[in-house]
Amino acid sequence: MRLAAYGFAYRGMVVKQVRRFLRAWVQNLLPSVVTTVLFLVIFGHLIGRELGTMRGVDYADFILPGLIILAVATNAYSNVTLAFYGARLQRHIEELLVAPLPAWLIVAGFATGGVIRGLLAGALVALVAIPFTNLQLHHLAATLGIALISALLFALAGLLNGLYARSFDHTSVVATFVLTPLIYLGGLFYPVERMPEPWQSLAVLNPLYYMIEGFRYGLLGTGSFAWAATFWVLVGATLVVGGLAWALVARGVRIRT
Amino acid sequence: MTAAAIALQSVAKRYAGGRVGLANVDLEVPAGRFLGLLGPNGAGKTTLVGLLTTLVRADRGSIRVCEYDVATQAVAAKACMGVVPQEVNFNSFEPVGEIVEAQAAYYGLSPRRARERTGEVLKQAGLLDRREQSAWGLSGGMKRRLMIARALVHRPRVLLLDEPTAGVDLEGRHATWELLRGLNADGVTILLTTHYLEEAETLCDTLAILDQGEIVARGDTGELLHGLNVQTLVLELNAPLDAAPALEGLAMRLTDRWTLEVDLPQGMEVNDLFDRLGASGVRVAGVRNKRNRLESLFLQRIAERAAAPPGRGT
Repeated sequence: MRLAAYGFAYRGMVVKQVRRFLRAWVQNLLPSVVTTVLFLVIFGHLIGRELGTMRGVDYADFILPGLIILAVATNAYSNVTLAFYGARLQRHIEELLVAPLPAWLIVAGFATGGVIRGLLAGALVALVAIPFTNLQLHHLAATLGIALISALLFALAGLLNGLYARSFDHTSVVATFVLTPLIYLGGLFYPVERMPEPWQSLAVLNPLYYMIEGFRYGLLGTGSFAWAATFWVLVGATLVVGGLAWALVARGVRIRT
Repeated sequence: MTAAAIALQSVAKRYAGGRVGLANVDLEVPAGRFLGLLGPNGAGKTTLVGLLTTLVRADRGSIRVCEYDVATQAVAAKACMGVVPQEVNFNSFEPVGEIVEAQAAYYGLSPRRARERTGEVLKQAGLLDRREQSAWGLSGGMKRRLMIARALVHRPRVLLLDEPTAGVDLEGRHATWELLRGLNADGVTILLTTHYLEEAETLCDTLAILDQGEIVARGDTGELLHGLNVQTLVLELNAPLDAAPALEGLAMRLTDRWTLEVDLPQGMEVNDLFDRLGASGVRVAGVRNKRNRLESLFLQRIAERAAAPPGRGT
């Protein structure tokens, strides 16, 4: 009985989250699409023609997996950050806190909203890339698995940001100054093995490197290591971040007095 | 014996910075009662509601709602409560119907049942025609009614209302009163905080007065009012007076030549007063209370507490 009630509550939270980002879909979904088209036209074609192939594929094809995973991660992250911070700011987080919902369900509701937006943005980016690239699907499980776990990981990380943010500035600081640089330095535009030391060794410490390489393997069949290992590392990171988010929400940090 | 719908035992809350929210409060509201919680600003009313809803965490003490401990059985305790907060706390960009339907879902109602109940409570609150409209466009009074509708969507056994009629016009306030009376008649236990003493006197069968985090008076509304030390009557005179008459044991003063104020001590009947005034040649055309009786009680208890040595409650 309680399980059915939790199911309806979860559905209610997810519907609310999806409606929230679809109400402003131009602002929430199109920027990733526009950025991707610009990257593919400028770097993929205009500059990429001069570069030739990379790991045996056209440069536009090489950067596409990174661009998709960039869209997935940033959309999942910012969706939950803004949704959670907005709920705290406008106090409608109280609608959830006074309801008979365990903390893990509240975390799951917000995270699912972020995952849906992240995957939707990734799918749109892949769709608009079709005219500019030879989009392939080498390994379905790797592609979907890495995309899904990346979206979940970043959605949960976004919840932590939304929990601790004290102003709207704080909701974009991590995405702008941490997340995006890590993705760019994680081998989005180049194979990490071409970097000089010590940068190549440092890149191995960048978690985004594994996401990009794993996803690149899923689409192109080319990568530095086994995608399954990447997947399980991401699962581990997701459990850690998710556990932290659950513990903070359960303790009421920044949301109860 | 009726089970307590709400029970607080030795509950204390101190905020960061040292401000006392509640100091060792004991309070019990039997099922089916209508409790009015009164107190000046900062007395601890909202803190008490926050503690019941788990939005505020107690430093110590036990809090039970519908016999469930809110600390250890929070999900079960919250399932039987409906909450109307003091401040608007819904997403104003969402349509009215979506706000209520979402809340119904959070309480475990199926989508079909949530839609049905949303229609019912919006109709009850007079907002059915606004169902598709964004909450942004609602007036202040309508927003308050929306929060009441939202709190009722899952048919709570206990309803907590934190100043639900603040800023609501007279018509809206009376409509809310009717709604609350009906719910209480149906067996819903209600805890209402308010600054409108007339509202508390009209609606509540039980009262508690909070001041600086402590309960300084509590009991049945009638009994508390009966215990007033003194009430001030305003008499409209049939003929003007130049000076207030001197009657033993009665404090009287003229506010103008046609109006006499009398402090009527506890135990003296109004009939006695009129007899003595009549014997003095004073004829009375009309009489009214200077203050609402509850207002007198409220001010009396707050004043008693202010005069008491520190640490001594009433």
